[in-house]
Amino acid sequence: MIRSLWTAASGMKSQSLNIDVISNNLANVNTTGFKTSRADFQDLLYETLRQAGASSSETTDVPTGIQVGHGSRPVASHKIFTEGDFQQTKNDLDIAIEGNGFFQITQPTGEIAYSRDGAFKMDREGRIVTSDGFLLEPEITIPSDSISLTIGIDGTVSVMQAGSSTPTEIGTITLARFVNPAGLHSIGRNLYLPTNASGDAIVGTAGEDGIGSLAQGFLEMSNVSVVDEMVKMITAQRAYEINSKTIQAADDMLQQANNVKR
Amino acid sequence: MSGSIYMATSGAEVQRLRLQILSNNLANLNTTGFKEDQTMFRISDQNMPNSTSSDAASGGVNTLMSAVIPMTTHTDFTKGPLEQTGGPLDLAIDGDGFFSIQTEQGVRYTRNGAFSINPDGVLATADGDPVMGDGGEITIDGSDVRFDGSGAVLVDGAEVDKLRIVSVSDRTALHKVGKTLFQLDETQGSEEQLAYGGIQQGFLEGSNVNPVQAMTELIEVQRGYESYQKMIQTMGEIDARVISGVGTIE
Repeated sequence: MIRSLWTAASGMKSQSLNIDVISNNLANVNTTGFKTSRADFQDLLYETLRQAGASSSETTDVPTGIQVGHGSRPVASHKIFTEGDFQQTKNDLDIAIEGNGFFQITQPTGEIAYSRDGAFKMDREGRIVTSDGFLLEPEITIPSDSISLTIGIDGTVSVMQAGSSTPTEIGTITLARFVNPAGLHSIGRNLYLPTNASGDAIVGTAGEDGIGSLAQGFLEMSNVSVVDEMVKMITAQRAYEINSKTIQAADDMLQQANNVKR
Repeated sequence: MSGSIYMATSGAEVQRLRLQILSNNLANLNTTGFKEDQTMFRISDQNMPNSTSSDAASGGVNTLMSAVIPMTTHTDFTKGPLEQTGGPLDLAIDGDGFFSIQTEQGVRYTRNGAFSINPDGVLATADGDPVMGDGGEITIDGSDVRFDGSGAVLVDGAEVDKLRIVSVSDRTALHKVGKTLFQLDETQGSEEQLAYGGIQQGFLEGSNVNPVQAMTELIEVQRGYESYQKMIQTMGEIDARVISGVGTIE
């Protein structure tokens, strides 16, 4: 009896985590470069009360036994790195990655983080930075007298300077890719850090070795699908409800057991 | 005293166990690849001590109810609904068969195809246990991973391996070991290579628990338990009346 209570509680806890993940996805439905997460669940250990295949006599076996489970547990919240939709912004410093790959961002601590958010800005020294002012790696400084800025699909950054008729190349944006991007650790601000599960960053040129190419004037939108999230929310909520009913049933039965002796 | 009070007790015990199995099914309503357990009632074992027999071996003393519960569980392997996720490493088997997983304890089987790539660059479950292909572990080094319908793994367009999808001769030989994995009892069944698995990429197989049926069964369990409780009470009252009433002279 008590076991059923805990089993149903494990179901409720799993579903409440599911709702946590879904609500974070929905909250980021308009976040540039956001990747949706999914909570994965597994069943818990089983207790075997009667072993199937045990001998019931010298010549016969028990065909099926009794296995009693103990509920479910969350096992992973899994980032899904499918591409989001591209939105045209016509802003020179908005860059989207078509395909795999991450921008490399230098955090104030000096540590490199990775991001799919290509909404870059310029700081007062002309360096390309994120909305938080973190530097893009490799560092690129745009000369103050430049009239127009062009970023090629391979990451080449060139500017047209006042008084000049030919563009000047001022640097190249390199991208990083991971064997298992789903294993990256999210640290907020659209940034990820590598882990043992993701493997080390493989830095390369955009458009080569499985790294995507760049598109200037576009932003990658969040890949959250509102319809999918709403359906997931309904199933999670109902599953939560149904597990609470199990707890009620177990509680009622416990009460009846108590009432046997009056 | 009446022995039937113990019959009612064992009946209540069966309902309690059913509730446990039901609550586990319901707790796994959203668990990918979960297969529900069903309870089956059976007539008591032949070799179960009979409450009315008085054989010489037990010295003519009647043995009351045995501890054997007149119930078994079996796993219902019907297919769960396919849910589209779009994840490149989310796989569902369309039809029979199981993925083979190499765990530290040996080969296990699962219908849960929510895979990822572990730090060694190998296709693995959420716990990091490698998924087996025909040539062992499947190393994925590339950006574009595709699985065709037959289970062939294509990395950047080149076939690197084929998923090992197997079926078993007797599904009752599969026992749950948690983590949505099954263990094969080799004394009862053997592995069979499946000619065609039918892999769907970007889909996952949901739990096959039917909530309507489970809720109905939950009501049945609760009411069943209640009636056993009434039976126990009634028998208790009868015994009380016998003890206090019979033999008194009015």
